[in-house]
This record gives sequence, C-alpha cells and structure tokens, in this order.
Amino acid sequence: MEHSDKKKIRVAIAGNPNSGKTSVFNSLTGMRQHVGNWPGVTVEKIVGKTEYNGVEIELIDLPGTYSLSPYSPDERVARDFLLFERPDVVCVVVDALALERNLYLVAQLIELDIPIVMALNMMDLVKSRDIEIDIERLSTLVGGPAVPTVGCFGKGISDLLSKFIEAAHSDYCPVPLNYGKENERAIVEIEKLISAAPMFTLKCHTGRFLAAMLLAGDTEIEELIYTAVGDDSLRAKIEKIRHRAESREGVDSEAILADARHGWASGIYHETVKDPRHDEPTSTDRIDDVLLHRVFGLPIFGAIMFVIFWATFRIGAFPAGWIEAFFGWFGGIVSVFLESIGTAEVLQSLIISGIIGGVGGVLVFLPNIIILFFFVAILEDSGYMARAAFLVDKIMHRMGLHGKSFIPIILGFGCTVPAVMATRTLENRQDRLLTILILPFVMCSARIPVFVLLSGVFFPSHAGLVMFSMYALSIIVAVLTARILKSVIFPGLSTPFVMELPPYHVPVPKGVAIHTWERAWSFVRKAGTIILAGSVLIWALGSLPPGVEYAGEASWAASIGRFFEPIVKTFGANWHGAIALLFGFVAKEIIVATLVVLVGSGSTPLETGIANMFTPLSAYAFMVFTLIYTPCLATIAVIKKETGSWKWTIFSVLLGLSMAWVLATAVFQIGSLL
Amino acid sequence: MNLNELNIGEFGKIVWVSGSGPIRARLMDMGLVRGTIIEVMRHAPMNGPIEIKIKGTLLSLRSEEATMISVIPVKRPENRGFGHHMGHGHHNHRGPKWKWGFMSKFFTDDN
Repeated sequence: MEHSDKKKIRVAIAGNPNSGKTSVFNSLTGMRQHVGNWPGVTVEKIVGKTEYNGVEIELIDLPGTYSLSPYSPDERVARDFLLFERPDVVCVVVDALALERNLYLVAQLIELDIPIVMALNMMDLVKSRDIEIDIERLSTLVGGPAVPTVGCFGKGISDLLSKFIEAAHSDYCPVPLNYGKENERAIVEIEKLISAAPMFTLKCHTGRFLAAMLLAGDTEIEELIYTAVGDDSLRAKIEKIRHRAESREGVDSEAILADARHGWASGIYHETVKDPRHDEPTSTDRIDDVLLHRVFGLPIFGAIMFVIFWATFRIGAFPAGWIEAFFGWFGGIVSVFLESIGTAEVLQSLIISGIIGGVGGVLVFLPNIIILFFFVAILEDSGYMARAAFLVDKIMHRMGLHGKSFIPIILGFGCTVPAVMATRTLENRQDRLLTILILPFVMCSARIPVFVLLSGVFFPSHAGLVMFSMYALSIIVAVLTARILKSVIFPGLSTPFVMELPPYHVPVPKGVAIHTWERAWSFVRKAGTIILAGSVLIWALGSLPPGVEYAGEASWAASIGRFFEPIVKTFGANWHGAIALLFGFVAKEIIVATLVVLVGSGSTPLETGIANMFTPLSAYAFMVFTLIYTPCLATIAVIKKETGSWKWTIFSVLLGLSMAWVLATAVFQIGSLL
Repeated sequence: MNLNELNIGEFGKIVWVSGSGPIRARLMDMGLVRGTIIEVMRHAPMNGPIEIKIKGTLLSLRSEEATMISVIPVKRPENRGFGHHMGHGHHNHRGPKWKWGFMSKFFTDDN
C-alpha cells in the first residue's frame, strides 16, 4: 500500500438524501455548496478538488439517492455516474442516526466493485443520544473503512482523505451479498448472457450488479442493456431465467433482492449499534406532534407563511428605501457631472434613467429577495419544508399538483429560475412538467417594479390593494391552469407520494447564509447584466436611425412598436407599451427601464409621460398582461434545460402569452363597458 | 389488511408489498420490505398522506401507496431491555424499532 503510484484519484461522494453529503463535501474541498435538510438539495453533480499528501483528489458530490434504481432525475445522475464513470473510490456518507436505512445503499454500492469508504456522519448527535457504534466491527462487516465525521464542523475530514488514498491503492475485494441458491444461479447465468454485450467494451464492467438489476426487473437497466445489445432474444432469455427463479423461490426476485439487502443492513446494524433510548420518542416526534397536528398543523403552516411574506415585504421595505435613496442621490451626482462636461441630453437620459434607474429599480428588491430566500433557507435546513409538503399534499393534489410542488411555488415568489430547478425533486415527469408550466404564473419579485411604478401613478391611494390583487390573480391563474392542464393534458394519473420526513435540525448559520446569498447573487447578476444591456438596447433603438428625434415616431423603436401595436391595442396599450412588453421578454424589470428610457426622457418627467400613455383601466390591463406572460429569458432557458424539450418550452411561452392577452383584453374590454 | 386500516399509534408487520414497477421498487428501497415493523404516526389534515416510522426514520405515503402494503397488526414490540421509558402519556405507546430482516439470522447476536 506504500507505493502511491496514483498521483490523482477520483472520489465520488454518494449517500442517502439528508445524510449530510454536501456538508462533508464542503469540508473536504472548502467549497461553499448549499446544504439543505430536505431531500433533493443537490440536483446536479458538483466537482471539487483538493490535495492530500501529494495526491490530487477530485471529489464529485452526487445527488442523494436511496438506492441505485433511480426514481427521480437527480437520482439518475448519481446512478449513471457510479455505473459509467467508475470513480476510483466511493465515499458513502452515512447518517449514523439512521444507520440501518442508510446501509441499504451501501449494500448496493458493494456490488459495484469500487472501493468504499464510509463517512459515518452526524457523530456529534450520536454521542449526545448515548448511542454506541462499534466502528471497527462496522468496517469489517461492510468491507470498507468507516470514518466518524461531523460534516458541518469539518471533523474527521483529514482521516477521510487518507482513507481515500489508501482505498484507491488497495486490492479491493468485496464479499457480495448472497441472494439464495436459485437467485445466485440466475445471476450467474444472466451475467454470462450480458457479458457478450458491447456494453462491456465500454467503461462498465460491473456484471454482477447489472445481472442482479436485470433479475429484479429494473426497467431502466433493461432498457439500457437491451438497446446496447440490440438482440431481442436476450430479453426473452432473461425473462425465462427470472421466471424459473421466481417459481422455485415462490417470491418475485425483486422482493428477494430487496429483502436480502435490508436483511444485510439490519444484521450489521444490530451487530454494531447500541441505542439504549431507541424506543423513546425523539425530539423530532415531539415537534411533529405540534407542527403536524391534525387540527393545528395547517393553521400553523399558514401562520408561518404569513410571517414570511409579511417580513419579506414589511421589513424589506426599510433597506429598500435606503437603496432607492442611494440610487436617487447617485443619479443626481452623475447628472450634475454629465451636465458639467456637456453630455448630450439623450445620452444623459440613458445613463441616469436607463442604466442607473434601471439597475437601481431592480436592486431595490434585493432586500425582499434576501429576506424571502433567508426564510426559505431556514425552512429547508430545519426540515420543515418536507413537513409543509406533507401538510399541503391533499390541497395540492386537488389542484392537480403534488405536495412537493409546493416548494418550487414558494421559491417562485422570489424568482422563477431557481423555482424551475427545484422541480427536480418531483419524481414523476408529468408532475414536474405541470409544475414547471404553472411556475411562470407565480408572481416573481421582478414584476413588482412594474406594478409599483404603474400603481404609484394611477392608483396612488390604493397601491397596496392593487398589489394584493396582482398576487391573488397570480395564484388564481396558477391554480386554474394547473387544474385545466391536469385534466386535459395529463388526465387520470395519480403519482405516488413517498417522501422522507428528515429529523429536525437547528439550521447552521453559515449554511443559511451561503444558501441565501447564492440565490440572491443570481438576482444581482441579472440586474448587472441583462437589465443593463436591455436598457442600452432600448436606448439605441430609440436613437436610431441617426439623426432621428429620440424615441420619436421615426425611430426604430417606434417601427417595432407599431408593428405589434394592433395586438396590444385590444387592452388599451400603445406602441410604447408594445415595445416595453416585447423587451419584457428579456426580463420584467426592463419594462420599467423601457418606459423610463422612452417616455421619461428629456423635459417630461416619467410620471407625466406614463400618465399620458395609459388610463387607469389600461394601466391595470397592462399590469395583468405583465403578470401573466413569460417572466424572462432566463426562465425560458431554464425551462428548456429542465424539460429537455423545445415543444414544452414553446408551449409554456405560448400559454403565457395567450392567457395574458385574453385576460388583459377581458379586463380592458369589460372595464370599458362599466 | 393494508396499512391504511391501522390506526394512529398502532404497529403492523409487513407481509407483502403488492403492485409493480418503479413505485413498488421505491417502497422496497425505502425499507418497506417483508417483516419490517411499521408504526403509524399520524395522518395529514383532510385525509392527506400518512406518516409512518420504520427503522427509526419517518416516511410519508399517500393512502394509494398505503393500500399496496399488506400488514398484520402486531402488539407494540417488546422492550428489549434497554432503559425502559416510563410515563409520558400516549408517547409511551411508541415502541422500539424491532428488526426482522431475515438475513440478520446469519449474524450471531453479541448479547
């Protein structure tokens, strides 16, 4: 073992959801990945690097998975990596408090024939609960070293690193589980059949594992192998072997394999763990008695949501005011400066109103976003998010959604992009699609500047009510769309709701901070890039062709706006409105920037310009349109990425546009009659 | 009987998980295999999902999934000699997690 011939090793970090994988990964690499306490925080594999004793170690944090038969897209990422990329070592992070359940995955990992190092995580909690774990015996029984760790405090990390290097250089020879005589015979036969397959000229050579999966009837592995082999007789042969095994055992192979792995896990658990207080209700049970109470559970949930939204907008209003004041002051200074060097008025309006005003108008919402995401981070890290999904599943189910759709929807009130990404925790593709399709209707914070601007001009004394009506409309549209789509496009199917409710944890401040900042930062970045570029583009279109009166009838902006004017006329908007909505595709905040650049330039103050552009009714219809149609270019991109389909992406955009047009027109036309 | 027919606070031992495909595989991966003891913890409001405890972890299932799980009711598993828990109202009904995985017989018991 002394000869460290490998100077570079690859270590995959696998483990059950909530086992603390990401905090172990962060401690190993010094990276700051987001750690949460609800299943599915890591939805994509994340790569980090470190060095130990002169060996370069590449670490891959895989999404949490309960088994190697993937059930959701994020689990598939983990399975495919382990199977086809074949890291040098698998570090399986095990929640020491739920050792028995966690060992089930270990049982499957052993079959992959890759050296295993177990990170026995959450050892601090183990000690505080007087649980004793015989670590040496555990290592012997599993066939790979177990290292006690406390991921969130970085304990046991250097131990782990040295074990990785040892394991990578060891001659690993695991003792596979025995599935009983008939099944073992079947596995050997299947292994022989598939070893002729071209798969094995590729990277994958875990024949026994694949054979066992085929015997259990794992549909994905079947698909994979049968496609690779391209021989239909193979399917029939394997089914014949399975039938024989099942009829002789009297039980289906799938159940026997699962029983055997759980039995293995259970046996090791009882051999190595002494838990004197395991029959006592845990603190999690006691908290759940209150938070999941049959009568009070939902009211408590409602109160928590109310407090979050109240804090987001009430407390957020103070720093928002300061930011607004800062940009006003800054704009003033720059204005004086530009005046003194004799800058053209049109360019001044670009810099002052377009860029400073546009970026400022977005950053004003940063406090709200930070507060909302801060609370979401606390809910996630504490373990309450899964409870929320449990509580609202019935309500969501009636709307055609899934309990887990709730988490993306809450995120959607902040920003649609992370919300769409969060749908990966939904296992069923139809549930995912449906949730993704309604998320654009959830009122993201980027739309707020538009509503604030317009209601400030047209409904100064009822601005709060107007804002509330927008939220209400957003929820109504989302719910109705979900119901309609569910009954029209995805009828009949009710997908399972099998979810772990993780033990409650006190959120670690560092984790909450990282998580909040990550999501808020993408918002800031958007303000700094897309909004800025959008403002400049609008300004250019208003100033071209050369020599034209800025934003006048002959400008390119007017020509484009005029082209779309007939469409927006039905809800009382003019060409300024048309071009603002057109650019609103890029990001909703640009609507404000566009209006500012186009109608608020030069001698006319913005408010007068806007007051001339709309009536209160058409302003409201314009707000409705803004609320309903596609939030931004980034949303379209993330929908394309997550659905993997242009068809659904285009459907989503068209759905938003047509509903926005119908509703805005209805508001305007019906309102005109009154 | 199936898991839905157990009342809150009652224990059941799984005799069979019916159904097919990924749902059944997932239930079994999560530990719902023959011989496992389930404790029914609570129901969500409005006849929503149920919460169960197996092997010391909490899971929630909809009633559709719960009907796939056939159980026989068992008494609260015997306390296995470790610190007996006294008093504490209805919490006292929560028993130890009794492990039945059939492979465990291949390991000798230390105690």
